[in-house]
Amino acid sequence: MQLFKENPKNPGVIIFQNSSIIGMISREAFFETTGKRYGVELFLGKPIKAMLKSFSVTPLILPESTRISMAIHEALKRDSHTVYDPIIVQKFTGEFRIIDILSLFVAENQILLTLHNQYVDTRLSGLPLTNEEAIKRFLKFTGIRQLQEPRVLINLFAVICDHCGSSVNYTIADIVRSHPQLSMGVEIIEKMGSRSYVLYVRHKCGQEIREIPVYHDNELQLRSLRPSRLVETYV
Amino acid sequence: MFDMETENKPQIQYMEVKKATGYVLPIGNGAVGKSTLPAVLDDQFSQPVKIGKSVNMEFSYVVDRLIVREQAFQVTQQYLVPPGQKENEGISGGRSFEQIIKMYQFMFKQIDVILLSYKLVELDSFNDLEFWINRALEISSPSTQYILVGTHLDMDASREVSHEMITNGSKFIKDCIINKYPEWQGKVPSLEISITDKQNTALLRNAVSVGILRSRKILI
Repeated sequence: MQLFKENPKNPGVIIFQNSSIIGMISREAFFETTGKRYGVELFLGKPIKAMLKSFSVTPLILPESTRISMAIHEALKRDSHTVYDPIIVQKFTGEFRIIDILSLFVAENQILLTLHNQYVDTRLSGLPLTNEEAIKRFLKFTGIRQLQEPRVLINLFAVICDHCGSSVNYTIADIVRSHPQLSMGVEIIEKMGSRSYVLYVRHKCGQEIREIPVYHDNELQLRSLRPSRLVETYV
Repeated sequence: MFDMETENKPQIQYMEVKKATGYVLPIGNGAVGKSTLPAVLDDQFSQPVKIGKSVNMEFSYVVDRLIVREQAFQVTQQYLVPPGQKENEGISGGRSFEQIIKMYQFMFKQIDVILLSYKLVELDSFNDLEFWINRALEISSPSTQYILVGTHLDMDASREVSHEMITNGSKFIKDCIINKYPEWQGKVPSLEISITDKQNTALLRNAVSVGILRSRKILI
């Protein structure tokens, strides 16, 4: 009891007999047992082994090389009344440590969030192409051979997102990079003897990725934009 | 009403005024200002300006007086305004352009001038003229004249249709006409007007009159 009181973050204790583990008592289980009527009187002054007898569960011991997601998977396979018990981790040095299940969940969540952010960044910035490569790809796709002002290809355009009201900057290369399938990002309209392009500008809009359809004329000058549309939502 | 040019040439007031009547068909997407056109073109009679959705054929007229090649004309422009809703757009509580054309087919035998109307501030309405010119050619005659009319000139700051697009569009329409009527001669003029402040409406009124005179072979 003193151990738990001195280390409020201590999730449990491992019980050894002749340097081998015979059991584990979690903080919750300990206080639950001693908190019962005559609980203190029953176990006070007795060896911890006496308390262990009331727990017939073998603790989950995993090597420290176990992946976090696998550790959670193994932990969740336990019975419902022990599913939230801490896990014993065996280090390479042979030492044992205890980790509570909540720390594992937090770590897993961190990994998922990082992965998700990476995914979102990939969806927004897309292909790892240089500006030159992206522009070449754009020119090949559109068949543009000549422009009165070729600098328009590297111009930075700015539009306002109708959804969040923020300014969204983009270049032609950004459009190419964010659309691995370029036909989804560039629409060619040939009507009334003129050509115009609709570029779908991807933008991280709060918890969503949205696309703003932007109209460019045959000289790739920005002419107008339409209301944005949702590409995907994430949490 | 004679224009300014007339006032500077008093000798022509003794000339005979020739009269002509022609049919004018403004077509184009919904909400581009087709129904309002006759009202704003009419300087002499103040017809109430209608702002709303056309669900049926609308009729209106404008009387224009002008001098062309030292000859005075009084041209009555009979406007037939069909709805701008296409059959495939799904109509709620009204009739589509195609339905109206079927119903009033007998009236379209001699359409003199077709006004291909679009909004300068809405590129889609301009691009859709590719659809409308094909519908127009189905009901027009070899003598029909065509004018490109861009509305909302007062909102020029938000213009989406560039001058280059209009020039190309005019050529494109001429090609479509010649494709159907190889003998057709003339130009497809383009005018930009404002219904709100009546900018260039007098020019359009005169252009429509000239179109009617050409169509009726009064002016060659």
